[in-house]
Amino acid sequence: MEHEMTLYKDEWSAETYDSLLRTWRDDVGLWLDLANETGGPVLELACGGARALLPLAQAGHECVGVDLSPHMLAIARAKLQQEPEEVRGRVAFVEANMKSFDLGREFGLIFVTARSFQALLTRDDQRACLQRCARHLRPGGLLGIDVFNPWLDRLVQPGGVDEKPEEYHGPDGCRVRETGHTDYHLANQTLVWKSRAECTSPDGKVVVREYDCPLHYFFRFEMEWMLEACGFEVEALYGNFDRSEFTAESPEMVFVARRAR
Amino acid sequence: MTSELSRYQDAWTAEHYDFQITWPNPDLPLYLEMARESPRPVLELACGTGRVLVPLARQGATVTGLDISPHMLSVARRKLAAQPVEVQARVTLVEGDMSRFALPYAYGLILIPFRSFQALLTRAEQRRCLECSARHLLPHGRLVINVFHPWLSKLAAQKSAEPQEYTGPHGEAVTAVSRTEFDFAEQMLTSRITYEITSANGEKQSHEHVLRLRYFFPFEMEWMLEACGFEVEALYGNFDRSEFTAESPEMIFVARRK
Repeated sequence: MEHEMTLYKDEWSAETYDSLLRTWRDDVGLWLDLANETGGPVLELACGGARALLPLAQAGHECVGVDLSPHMLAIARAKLQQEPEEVRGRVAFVEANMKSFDLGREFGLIFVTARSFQALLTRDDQRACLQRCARHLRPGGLLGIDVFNPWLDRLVQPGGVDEKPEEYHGPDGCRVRETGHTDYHLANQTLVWKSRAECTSPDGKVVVREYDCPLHYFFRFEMEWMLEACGFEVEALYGNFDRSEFTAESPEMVFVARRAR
Repeated sequence: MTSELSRYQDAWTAEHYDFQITWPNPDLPLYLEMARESPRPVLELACGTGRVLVPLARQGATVTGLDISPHMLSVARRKLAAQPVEVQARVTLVEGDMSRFALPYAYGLILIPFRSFQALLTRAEQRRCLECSARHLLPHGRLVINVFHPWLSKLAAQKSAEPQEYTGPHGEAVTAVSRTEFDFAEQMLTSRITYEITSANGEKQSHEHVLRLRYFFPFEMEWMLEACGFEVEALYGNFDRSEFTAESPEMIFVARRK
C-alpha cells in the first residue's frame, strides 16, 4: 500500500479535526449504555482528543484511551486538565498502536468509534488488533466497533468522488477552505481520501496543507466472519448509533460483539 | 405453476437443467486436473445432474456426489447408466443436505462447483457446510469452492440477466426471463424466472421458479474459511488459475484444514 495515513500526525491537523468534531456526540449515548451494562472499566482505541471517552469518565467509569498520535493525546490531556480531580483520577492515556498495545489488564468494554478501525488496511492488521482486544477483555466483555456502510453507488463512480468543499475557521484563526477527493481501490477494498486545506491567515498569507487518509471499507458479513474468526460472538449490528435497524441505506455499521467464553 | 425453489427440487427444473445451462463447462478442465493431482477419493457437494461428477469418474476418479434434490439425482443416475460399468462402479450418489451430511468416507478433494455454495443463505448454514467438509477431508486434503465475483458496478446497476432461449428435453422452445431483486443489507439476490414454453405442436405453457443466492465478497470468504478452520492456499480469478483481480469474473478458493 503506497498511501500512508498522514492525517492527525501533525499538530495542525490534530487540532483542526478535534475542533471540527468537538460538538459531535451522536455516538456517546451508545458507548455510555454499553459501559453501564458491563460496569467497565472502559478502553477506547484511537481515542484521539477523548471526545467520546471524557463523557464516560464524567459518568463515573474508569477509562483508558489509546492513540497512536502524540498530537491527539496532547489535546486529550489538555482537556482532561479542565476536569475535576476525581474525573482526572479515573482516566489514563497511552500512546500506542491499536495493533500492538499491551496494557497488562482487562476491561469490561473496548470500543473503536468514528470509523477508526478502518485505518487497519490488511487482514493481518485487523486480526492483530482484534487479538489484542480479546486479550484485554474479560470473558464475556463487550467490543464495540463502528465502520461506515459502503454505499455501492459511491464505490463505482469512475475516477472516484469529489467531496463537497467545506469552509471553516481553523484553531489558529485562519480561514480554511477544504476540498477533498476519494479514490476507491476495489481489489483490496481500500479508499484513499485526499484532503487539501487552503488556509488563509488574518494577514492574508495562504498556506496549503494536504493530507492522505487511506481506509479499508468493510462489507457486513466480512465483519461478522472476521469477529467470529478472532474469537468474538456478534451480539448486535445497528445501522446507526441510535440502535436503529441495519438496512442497505444505513450510514453506519455498528457492531457489538462479546468475547467468546 | 409457481414454486419457492432455490435447489432444483422439482422434476421439471431438474429435467431442464442440462438444457438450460449452455455454459461450455469452462470449469471442468480445472476440476479434472485437481482430481489428477489428488489420487484420493473426491466428494462433490451439490453434484446436481452430474455435469462435473460423470467426467471425473470417466477420468478414473472414485467419486461421491451429494445433492439435496432427488430429481437432480435421478437425472444424474440416468446419465450414469449410459456409462461403462467400470465408470458406474466408481460413483456413489447420496441424497443429502450439503450443510448437514455424514458419510462413512474421508476425501482428498471436496468440490463445490458453480455457485452451489451460494445457495447457503445464512452464516449458520455456511458454517455447518464448512464444518462438515472439514470432518470429511483427509489430512492435507483440499476444499475447492467456486462463487461468482460480485462486480460492484453490476450490483449497483441492479440489472436482471438477459432473457435466455433454449430447446428443452422434448424439443420444446423455451424463453426464460429473470427479474432479479437485490437486497444489499443481506447480500442476497432473488431471481424470479418465468419460462414461456412452446411445444412442438404449438401448445403454450408457462412455469415459474424462484432462485435465491447469497453473494460473497473476497475478504468475507477468507475470514469465513479462517473462522471455520481452513487456510486459504490459493484464490484464482478464473478457471485457468489466473490471479484474482478486481475484474475477475470468478472466485475459486482452494483451502486446506489448518
